[in-house]
Amino acid sequence: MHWKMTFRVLFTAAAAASVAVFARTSSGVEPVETERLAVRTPDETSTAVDSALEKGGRHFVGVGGCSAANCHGGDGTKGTVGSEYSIWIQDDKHAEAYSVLYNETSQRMAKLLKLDKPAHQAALCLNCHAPQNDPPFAGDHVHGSLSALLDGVSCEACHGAASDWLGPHVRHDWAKKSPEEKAALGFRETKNLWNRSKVCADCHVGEPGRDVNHDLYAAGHPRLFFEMSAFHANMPAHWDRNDDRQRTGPERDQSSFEAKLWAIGQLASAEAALELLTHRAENARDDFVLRDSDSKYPSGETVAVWPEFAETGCFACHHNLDSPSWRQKRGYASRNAGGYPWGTWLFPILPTVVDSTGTSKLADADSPLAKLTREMARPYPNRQAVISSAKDLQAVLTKSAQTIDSQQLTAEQIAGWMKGVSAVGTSASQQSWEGATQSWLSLTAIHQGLTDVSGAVGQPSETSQQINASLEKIRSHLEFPRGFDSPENFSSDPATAISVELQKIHDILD
Amino acid sequence: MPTYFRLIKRVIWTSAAGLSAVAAFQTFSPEAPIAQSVAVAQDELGSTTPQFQGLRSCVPCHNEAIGDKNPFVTMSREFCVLNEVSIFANDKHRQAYELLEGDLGKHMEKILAQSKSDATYKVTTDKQCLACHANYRWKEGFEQPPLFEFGVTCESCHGPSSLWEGPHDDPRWRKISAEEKEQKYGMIDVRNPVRRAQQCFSCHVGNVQEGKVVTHEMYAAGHPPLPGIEIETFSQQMPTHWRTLQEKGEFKYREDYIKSNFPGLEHSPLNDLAKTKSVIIGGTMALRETVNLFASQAVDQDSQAWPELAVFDCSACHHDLAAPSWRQKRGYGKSLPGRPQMFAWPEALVKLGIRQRAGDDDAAFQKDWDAYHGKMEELRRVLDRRPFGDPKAIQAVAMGEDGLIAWLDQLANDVFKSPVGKEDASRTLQTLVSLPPETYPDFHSARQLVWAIRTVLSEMNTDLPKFTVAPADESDKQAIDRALTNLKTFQAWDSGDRAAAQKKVNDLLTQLELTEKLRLDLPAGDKYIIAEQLPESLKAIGGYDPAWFRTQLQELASSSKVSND
Repeated sequence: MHWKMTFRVLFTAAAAASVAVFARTSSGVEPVETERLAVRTPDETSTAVDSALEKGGRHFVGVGGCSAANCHGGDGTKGTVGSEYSIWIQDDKHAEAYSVLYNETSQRMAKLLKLDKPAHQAALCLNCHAPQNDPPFAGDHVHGSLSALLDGVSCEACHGAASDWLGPHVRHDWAKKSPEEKAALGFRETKNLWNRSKVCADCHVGEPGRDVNHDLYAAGHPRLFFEMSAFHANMPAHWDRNDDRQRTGPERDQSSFEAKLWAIGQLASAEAALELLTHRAENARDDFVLRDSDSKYPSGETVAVWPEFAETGCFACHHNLDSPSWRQKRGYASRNAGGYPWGTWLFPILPTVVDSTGTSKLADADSPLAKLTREMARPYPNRQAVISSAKDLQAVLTKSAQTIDSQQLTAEQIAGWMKGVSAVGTSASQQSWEGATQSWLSLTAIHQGLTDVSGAVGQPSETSQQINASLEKIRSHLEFPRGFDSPENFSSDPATAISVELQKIHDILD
Repeated sequence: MPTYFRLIKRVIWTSAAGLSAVAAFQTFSPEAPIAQSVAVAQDELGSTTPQFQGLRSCVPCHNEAIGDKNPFVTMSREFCVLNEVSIFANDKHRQAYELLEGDLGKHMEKILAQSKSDATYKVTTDKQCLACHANYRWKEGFEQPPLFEFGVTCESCHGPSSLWEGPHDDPRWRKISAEEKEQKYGMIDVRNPVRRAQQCFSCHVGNVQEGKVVTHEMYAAGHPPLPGIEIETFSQQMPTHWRTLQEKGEFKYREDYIKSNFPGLEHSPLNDLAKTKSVIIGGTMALRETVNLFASQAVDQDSQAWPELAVFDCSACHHDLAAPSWRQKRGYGKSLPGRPQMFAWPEALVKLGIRQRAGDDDAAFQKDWDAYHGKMEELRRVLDRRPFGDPKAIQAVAMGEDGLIAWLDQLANDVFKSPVGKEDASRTLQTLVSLPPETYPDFHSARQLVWAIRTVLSEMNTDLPKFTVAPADESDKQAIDRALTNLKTFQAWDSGDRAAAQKKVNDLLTQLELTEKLRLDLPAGDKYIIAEQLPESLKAIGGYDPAWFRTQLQELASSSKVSND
């Protein structure tokens, strides 16, 4: 049971630790009062939904269509094929996505945002928390019923609205259908790691219509700090993780899966963020941003805010002013003093991945990434300039992902990434908590990939143990203190300690 | 006027300030009627543009040691004490330029040089620094004074002196209207609380037209955050080098002086509580100047200079994120969450002006208050349309004919014209201590309130000194004696009655921990170095809790010392 062992290691080192960092920040886990759920009336779902059903468009069938005991409602443990629904309903946070909209934070958010509907009825919230309400990714259909909303983020939120493929997918010839044929029926293919990452990123990074922006954060929404490999490891698997390993081989006990998922996750998350950035730049109105509860302008287009503070590192601004200031001592690197540090979460490690593919040199001063970073450092960035650089960068990322996806990763390649990240991470860590945390999450995932591909699962070598010890030290510097939703204690001094550990990892790999 | 007296002055001038003073003095011959003596004021070279001359032109006369009893200059002391420069020697303003050369200046220079990609960058030659830290004016036609070393000096506040240095020592100068002094001669009317507030706030809030703007880049490089300013508190801590009209006793041409320098008053300002009035007016002008700065910067959204983050409330963004968050619990009023906010402190005292104008007429107050709120809401609405607001709309709301700035100007001038007696002070105090429910002032607003309370309460509890009145046909000898007696009366009262009243109030504030937690005492003199105090000041701001302040203010309101008076 090597793979199980692998996961235990991964959970201990990365996933559980990331929970330690994030759990205290999460305000979406308040207990839901069941009475509140009980008093809801059926008219809470909009008539628009009913009319869509009448029109007979593609729609969600709800978990009831999947949960039969001999289909996906079996009673197996995590990772057991046939028990997907059972695992989801028992262990997966996604199943609570809708019910959290009734908690105190959500209700207050709706009030602070001046929505004309409560959170559990506002498309602004439902688009992620119960996407069966109006999934932007399905375009031509609108559907949902009260019971479907209650499902939260259920099977079809990721796998696609099932009205057209529910029947076909149980037929013997389903396996013979091409991905394109399946997609034509509304099925979202998630075996491909780029697709899988994009499915997650739709909500966890955002897309037009699912824009968790600074207005929402200030109203109380937890910050989206998405990193594919850590979130993937944390999700209770309703699929056989061995299949993932098998596909990324060469053997399932010598699999580069974790490294590949990390790299493609990095690219897909950044690409999703750029798509959202472009949407924000293209759709912002100079004169009006008050939204209705569907997050639309009165004219019907989706609201976008410009400049959008959520694009920027949170803790560059959100820190008590202090003297002497470690930020002033550290300096501002290539940025103007007082300028905005853009993309500190999704972009600091990216050049390591992209530049290794030979697609582009993102580390160069005239790369689209550098141009975008410079423009976004201004408090009111020029929207046309941003759109142009973002599109260039998106193309680079997509191409890099294709290259990586088509490769059978070797231990040397993975070790190269690890060395690269430990080097880049040193400056990223000095610049921001986000940079330091992203470095740590990345190294944890790549290290797992390296261990796996070497076939050393369950028998960590001495160097591997040293690396784990360094990673644990880094983690201890990243935690938010109690009572805080920001790294109050983080400063360049602990960042220096982080740099020391990063250097150690770098030296071990040399 | 005895000739020996003028002669002495002439000697001092000639030896110290050079012939220029004599030349100017001659154009301003005592024989000619003063107001009509020159159609256009000129200096000795015939220039009609006021120029800065530097501190040295003031030193010869205004440098009496504190307590000096030189009888020859006593006559002037009935109006001003002539020890202003000696007091200024301990004034923080004197260090303004030195700071640029100090550790903090060097630290900022290093970061700014890198930020501006200019290795030769110097804070000591940057106009943006010198505009506030030395006597630098951006205005066309001004030559710069030779000495920056003395920082913010006499002329920074009183105006460039080349045209008025000569005439201003003649008592008949008092008869010239404040407007003429400023328009023709370049002397700024700092005796008018509206004008004085504007003058102080040009640096302490900022003024685009005068090139006095602190940028976010400067802050990020280490410039200490500009604290919210309450004009009387700051003045007292300078320390003051002047007496108010009410503190001077009688002086030559007093009636004429009042008529020409306090225009539009239907009452005698001698009966005003000058400091209370100044607090009220300063409170209105703080918002006026803040909005003016705000709107003056909102010129062009495509310019690299817009938006200037430094005009937005620092702590709206710069705060550790708390879990749970009191800000989310408090809400964002009519604004959207997550948008940069204007500083809140300049609004803290505007209510005082509105209350003063309305007096006891509650209906008039409510009408005015609603009008004010309407204008502020309009401003917030255009600010909320998108982060940093819509620059054109901000300009229109602030600077339009019926805009917020015009409205505040009117309010300040109406308060200036109104009599402010003890009843008004008492009403002001009640306004200050009664916080409407659900209002949670931030650190700087809380300071505004408490500083205002401190000034008003002390002034209410101190009766003005009784000065000797000039008899008819007073001889020169008698006038000198009376001026000396009145000065002594003032000094005894200042260190006696007034100091005692202030101590009482201070003790009360200290007891309620307000002095410490709001850091009410300001950097005055040589011992309190702003940069060195920053760690504690910033911690106090970071650790401030508005709910605690509400409780303390209620305590203060119910204290017998406040409610009895």
